[in-house]
Amino acid sequence: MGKLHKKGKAGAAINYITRNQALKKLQVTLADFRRLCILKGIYPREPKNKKKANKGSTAPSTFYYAKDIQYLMHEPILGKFREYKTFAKKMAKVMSKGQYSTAKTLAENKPIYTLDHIIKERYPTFTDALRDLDDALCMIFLFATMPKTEKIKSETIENCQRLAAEFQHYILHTRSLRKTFLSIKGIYYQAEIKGQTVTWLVPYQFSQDVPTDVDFRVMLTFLEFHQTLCGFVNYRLYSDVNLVYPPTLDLKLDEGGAGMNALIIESTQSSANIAKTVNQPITSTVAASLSKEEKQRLQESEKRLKALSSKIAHIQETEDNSTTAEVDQDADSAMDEFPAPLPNLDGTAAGTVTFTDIQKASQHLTHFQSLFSNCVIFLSREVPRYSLEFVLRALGAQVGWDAVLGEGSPFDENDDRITHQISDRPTQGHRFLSRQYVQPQWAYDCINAGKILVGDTYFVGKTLPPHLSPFVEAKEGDYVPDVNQFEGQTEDLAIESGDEDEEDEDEEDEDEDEEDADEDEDEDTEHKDLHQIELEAEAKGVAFTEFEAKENKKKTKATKAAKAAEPATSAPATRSAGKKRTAAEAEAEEAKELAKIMMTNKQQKLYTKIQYGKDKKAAEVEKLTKKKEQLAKSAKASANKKAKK
Amino acid sequence: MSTAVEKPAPTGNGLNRKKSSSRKGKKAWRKNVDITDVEQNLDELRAEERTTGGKVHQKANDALFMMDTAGDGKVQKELRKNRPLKMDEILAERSKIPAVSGRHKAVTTSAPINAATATHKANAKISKAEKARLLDMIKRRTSTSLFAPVNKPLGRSGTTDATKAAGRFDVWGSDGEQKQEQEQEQDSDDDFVGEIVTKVSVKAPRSFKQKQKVSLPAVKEAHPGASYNPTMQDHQGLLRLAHNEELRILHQKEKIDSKLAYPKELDAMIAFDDQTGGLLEDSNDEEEESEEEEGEDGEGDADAPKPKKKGKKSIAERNRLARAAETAKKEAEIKRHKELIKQTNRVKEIIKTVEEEEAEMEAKRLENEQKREEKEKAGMKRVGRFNIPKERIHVQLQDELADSLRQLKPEGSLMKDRFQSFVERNLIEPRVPVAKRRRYRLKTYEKHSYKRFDNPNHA
Repeated sequence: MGKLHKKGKAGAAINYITRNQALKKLQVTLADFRRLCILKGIYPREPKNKKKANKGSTAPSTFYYAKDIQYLMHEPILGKFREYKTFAKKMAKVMSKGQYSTAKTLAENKPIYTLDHIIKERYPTFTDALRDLDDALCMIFLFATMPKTEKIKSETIENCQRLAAEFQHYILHTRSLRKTFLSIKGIYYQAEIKGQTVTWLVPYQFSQDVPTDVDFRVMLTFLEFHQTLCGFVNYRLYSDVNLVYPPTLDLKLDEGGAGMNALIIESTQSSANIAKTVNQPITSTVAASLSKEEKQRLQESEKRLKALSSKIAHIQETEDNSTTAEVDQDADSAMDEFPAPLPNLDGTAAGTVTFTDIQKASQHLTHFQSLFSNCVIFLSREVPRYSLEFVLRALGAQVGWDAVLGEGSPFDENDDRITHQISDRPTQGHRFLSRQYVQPQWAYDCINAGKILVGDTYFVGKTLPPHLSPFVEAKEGDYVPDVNQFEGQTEDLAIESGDEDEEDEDEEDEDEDEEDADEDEDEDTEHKDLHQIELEAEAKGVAFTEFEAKENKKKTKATKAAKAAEPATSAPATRSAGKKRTAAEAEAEEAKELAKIMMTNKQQKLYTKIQYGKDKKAAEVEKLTKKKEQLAKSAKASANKKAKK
Repeated sequence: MSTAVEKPAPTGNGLNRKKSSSRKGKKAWRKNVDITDVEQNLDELRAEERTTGGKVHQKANDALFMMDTAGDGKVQKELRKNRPLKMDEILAERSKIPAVSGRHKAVTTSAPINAATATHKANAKISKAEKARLLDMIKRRTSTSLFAPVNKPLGRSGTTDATKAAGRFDVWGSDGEQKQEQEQEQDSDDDFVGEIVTKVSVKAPRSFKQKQKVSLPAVKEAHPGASYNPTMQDHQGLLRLAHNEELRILHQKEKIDSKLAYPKELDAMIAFDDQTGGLLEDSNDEEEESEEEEGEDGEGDADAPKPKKKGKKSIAERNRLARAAETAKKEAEIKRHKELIKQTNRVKEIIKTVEEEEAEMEAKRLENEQKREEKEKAGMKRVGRFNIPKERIHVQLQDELADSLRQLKPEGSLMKDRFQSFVERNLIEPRVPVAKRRRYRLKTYEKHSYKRFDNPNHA
């Protein structure tokens, strides 16, 4: 006979511990236990057999790993909780006796705990922290828009707003925004930070109702942890791109509702220079009615602004120059070596990744990051600045706004440089001819499409095209409407930036539409090439319309040639290849047949089922594509008629 | 005198040492000895003789002193006049050493006599805001004021010193390591036995670093139909989802309702009962009857044939039995042998079936494992006492959809959404708001002047 085993001495019985047992062991209240678990990242677990884990009882209870709880006993925060308890007792005693001076000295020695050791423990590397940033960002952006209630302090809201603004500035600075989506819940943003995809959800800034059936004690504990995490992450992000952290807050702008612009972003390299320039004589035009303190504060902020604005402009200039230079270089090299079409951002080749692939991807990325770099965009007063400014500036646009939307706009509505004005009203009263009027959705769709779309479809008062989710990834054989939808609707800003009338623009758009009807997917690169040639032509002094006509002829030839050349060089799986491929195809089919024979009856049935579904899907796709082709044809015909007239 | 013994003539010694001239021989002695104190004494004696006419210490006490029996009446009178009361004397008995100032009493007088004036003043004057700030730190407030700060222990407000301290240094860089080292050093400094007993750093258990099995994203991808301006197809898809969910809930509710409802069969039974006039009683009677019958049967068993009694077997019988056993054994052997031969002929077949069975079992096991993993990834359906509620699908109907971003009405609450996400990922237990319960039942009394006649308890 083997050794006798006592019941409840091994296995699940000692590996798990119920919540109440844990409370007794740690000698804390339930509320403190909850907070500790949230901060420390200890979550309930599910034993395979609850009965074995709970001494034969099947009563519902929450289980934790016993070793986790044992480890929790050594947590310094637990000690701080206890210290605070005694402190609160002392304080209550002293206050009830009216011994306020003693209370003050007591308050100075209030036990304080920090969470940095927990952050380090839970996220040993910075990448780990970035992976878990989604949660933190969602919470911080959510609480930044919350109203002050008795549960949510104004201090908390302000801190969240600061953290959110800091993070947004980092995204702007590094241009790492990738996708946006306007849903009925809120606005989704996706950014890529150091190779990690970070997604967060921001509520629309309407009056938020504070729900009653949510436990705010839990939420605030999460928020506390997330604030700490976000603070440390921001510090690291800023220091990685040589920015000063924390950025100083311009009080005047903040009061004026400048939002995230109230933060002054400084580079660490230039901070020494700034210190010198601050010593300029102060000239302020502050109203005499202001109090002394306020005056001083305003003076200070103005002083800073004056000194900094020039500095920042300088920094931005140098940066822009460098980036544009890089883009140019890349473009040049690409034209020389890789005339092939650019792949999509996510459509990287599945097989081996070659150097050229990487180069292509990076080139595409730089192009995407400076998507709006030629745009000067003005926001009317009815559009959501908090989102649009972020989104547009994240891809290089210069953004100004109506005074109603807050202080600090770099230019006003009458500025000549403005290329686009975003407004969201049924009709636009006064119009500047030099700019395009578009609805807010245009900006988001441009980002998701990765190119600047024609503003006409988004003109003020027009019925908008549907706003598609960028998060949907098409499976094999799916009908993808959005890829083709915007085909031929891209806009060339280099052309537009010249002095032209609206009529010209219209013509040009139509022309483009015509071209694009017979263009293929590789139009992207062609556009690029076109840019270059156009610019050259402009420099020579050729009129645009003449140039356009020439170019049209060239293009049609080129596309034909490209079409002919394409199958020979690439894509062994297209229909037009002809004889060579039929042999291969036949072989594949044969193999398939053989495999089918080898299948069991059950498997065969399943196979036919799957095949049936696939065929059905394919038929539907074909139907849709045919429909689309027809529509395109009719559209082309009507456009031709128009042109003739 | 004792004092003289304790201080052995410091002046004389000092003088002698200073001069340090020779006193060797009579001549030198006479020349160099110091006799000033002797001369001084003699002078004093001479002065006494001049004033008193003789040496004082040689005179008798009577010659020097006289007894004053009467005393000075005036002084006595004046003293009596200003004498304090005994009571006051007792009260005035105070130690000159100042008392330990532990407790301070708020002094209302304009000019406090105590030495601890400053602390008293500080106690007396404190701004309202300061007081509120101090009271804020207390765990439980006794104030019933409506505007009193809410009770909150450490870190209840969301922003604590921890959050304020965040972002001052790089946790993941060298700063973080330095800081942690410093803290450890501080800890060891505080500990007076630090040098002898080194603190052992506690290792985190493996289970702590083990990730949760639940793998749901923090931010779920939005359904394409949830766009503020969706395509028709996507929107319909989302609507269908929401519709199905709603239907499911409805069915569930119906099911519960039907179970809780009064069963119609009961009605029918009662009606039938009324017709027959007490069916239930009859059935009872029947049972009793049947029991009685059984009892009777038991008694009637006596007539049944009795089993044969076992007696001693005869030799012939035993032999027969032995032979029979042997043949049975032989037959079994033959049968077994035949079976074996049969099986050896189809060994291949058997191996194949066994292998097939094993493969099947393996496949099943894998499938089950995969299923379990998927289940774990989806998270627990119930943590603690409560089931995890299903997320509501938010959808806008066709006419609710906005034409432009300006007219958009957001759907659902993100706060709830976040909370739901935490619960779904099993980060916290699902919570159900608990209404406050009364500890004891309210008693109602009726007064003579006012009686509630609609009260059921009213007699």
